Amino acid sequence: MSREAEITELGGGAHRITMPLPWALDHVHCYALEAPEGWTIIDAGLGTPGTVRRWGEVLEQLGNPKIHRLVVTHYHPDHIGCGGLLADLVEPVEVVQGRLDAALSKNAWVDMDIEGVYDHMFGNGMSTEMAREAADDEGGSPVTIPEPTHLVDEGDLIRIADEDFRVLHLPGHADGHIALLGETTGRMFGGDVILATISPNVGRWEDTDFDPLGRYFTTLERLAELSPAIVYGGHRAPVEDVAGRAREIRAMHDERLLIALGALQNGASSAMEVAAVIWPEWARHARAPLRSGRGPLARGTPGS
Amino acid sequence: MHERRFALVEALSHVERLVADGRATMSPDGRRFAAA
Repeated sequence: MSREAEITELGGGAHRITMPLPWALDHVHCYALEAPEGWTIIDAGLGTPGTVRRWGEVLEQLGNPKIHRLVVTHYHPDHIGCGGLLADLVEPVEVVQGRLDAALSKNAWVDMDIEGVYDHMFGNGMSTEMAREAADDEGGSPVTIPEPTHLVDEGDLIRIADEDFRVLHLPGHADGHIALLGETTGRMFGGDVILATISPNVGRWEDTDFDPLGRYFTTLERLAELSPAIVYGGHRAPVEDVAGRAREIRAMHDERLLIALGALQNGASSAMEVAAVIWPEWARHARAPLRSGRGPLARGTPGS
Repeated sequence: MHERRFALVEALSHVERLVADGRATMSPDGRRFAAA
């Protein structure tokens, strides 16, 4: 995409603001919703000086509206990263965040435990060198979190202009992930709970509870039942056939579970070894240095 | 490195799901797995 922000009019007083990312996934969508009392911004983008400069330009193009509220869907760097800088720029009346997500944010970005990241990566099969690089990479994430002033829980209502939005707690991609579902229009601002053409990463990070995929399956079932009219997500195109997309993602994970099970049946014993079977492309350059490390890929005694 | 970290944590979420539904077992420290 362009290295500048792009504004897309969605109708119904909603604007999609697309910010570039310096990754293979090269963009993130944030949203601005008009309201007489002041606009609501949903998600902030990555916390780089370029992002906050782009926010200044975007808001100028939108007429420099008063910003009443900043909502954070979840604490991943591309969504919350610019939150602190953006809050300084627009001085919202309130910063809304899920209660659990706020705690995870503080834990991840204020009280960051780099050694905990290293231990998680090393303990699950990365070589010393790779785990150290991963931990340093995590520690260098450009994130300045905003101070939440309004912690929300499942079922809370947030009124934006003349529509109530219901807060949904939809874990899986992140344990504290929230989404906003419009009670009148059925539109959902979903962060990364469901995406078109790509599957949200469901990762068991060092601060994630056991079995995030189980929680994500429940989220997919819930999304299919709720069947929002449209989900405006954090990446790619909006999702209109939510139940259909949920089924596709579930099927992909079911297939991947079979591959993971096959890997275990063939002697893999660590997450790293299983990853190398699921993603052989990735494995081609990951295996060699790993096997020369402390031996996490050696066929050790399986777990109890 | 970004992709490798994501691959590792996504693989871990899958083996934990296998443990949760009884198709795999896990060592007490949660870091070694085997098919059930």
